[in-house]
Amino acid sequence: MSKLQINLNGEVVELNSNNLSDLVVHKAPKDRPFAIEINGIIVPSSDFDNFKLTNNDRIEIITAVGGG
Amino acid sequence: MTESKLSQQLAADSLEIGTQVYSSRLIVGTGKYPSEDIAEKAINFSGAELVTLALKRFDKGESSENILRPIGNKNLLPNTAGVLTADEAIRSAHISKELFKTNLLKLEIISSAANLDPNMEETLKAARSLSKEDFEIYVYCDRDIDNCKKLEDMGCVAIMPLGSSIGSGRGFDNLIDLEKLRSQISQVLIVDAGLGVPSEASTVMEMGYDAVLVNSAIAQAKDPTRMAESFKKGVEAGRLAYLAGRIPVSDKAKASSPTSFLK
Repeated sequence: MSKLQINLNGEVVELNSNNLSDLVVHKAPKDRPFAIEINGIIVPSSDFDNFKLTNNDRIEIITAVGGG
Repeated sequence: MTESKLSQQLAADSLEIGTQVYSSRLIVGTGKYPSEDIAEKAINFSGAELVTLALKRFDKGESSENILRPIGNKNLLPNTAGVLTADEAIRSAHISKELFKTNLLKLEIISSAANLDPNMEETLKAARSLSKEDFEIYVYCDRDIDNCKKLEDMGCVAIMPLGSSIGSGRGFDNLIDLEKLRSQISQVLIVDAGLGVPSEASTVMEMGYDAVLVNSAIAQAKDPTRMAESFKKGVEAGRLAYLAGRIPVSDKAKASSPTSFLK
């Protein structure tokens, strides 16, 4: 397939796969919980395996940071 | 009363917030610590059972510090820090619920990145919307009685007026307003933001506040671990004094010893 262009955490990124699960393997943290939002909608982790990305998707990978 | 009996009395004096029950009345934040190890020690010495934390984009290139490690098994209170509007706060709340698997939420909408005081118009709007979902909302707010009453009526589980500006260490900008609030708000009241030293935590606990939330004063102290312990003791002292009941304030002297010699 041709490369996919998405916006990941505010930056343009090219992907070889349209599987969200592949993106998770390469771009998400492995040692802590995270959440994924695509085009403003939260994707539950149970949907990662079946979710297909499309061109220009805006993807946020979000995790925890210290705060008051 | 022996010291152990006092400890037992404090232990029995649990704090109920929404569906949660705590024995500690100190909530601590997790920002601005010099290191994860110091954060872990300070959080443990604080005795806090509920800790706040925030959201951020994951950046693979950044340091590998993981704030969840020092927090251990404490209850998490994710905040909506950094948001300026109700819409952003609602979005943050939903991400937090998915990420941390909790419906506890510290709703915090600031006025601007430079003025961290609450934007009450947006806060009320967000609270109104989120209270229709199953969130347990701890809300950072101003000291205005009408605003606090509205938040109470919406079902927020904790009303959290600021003592003074976030991170300022200034203590109280208006202690009288805080005292008035306590007399008018029956919901859980927590002073959030601005405290600098434990005596300030004691002061509001003596007034009947249910808890205090402290971050910068501990995290940025020269010795965060010691400061955490001092806040723990300050909160406990204030709570005990509240339960004990202070004497009426009088403008006249009242002798506690005989007023004449050997009669």
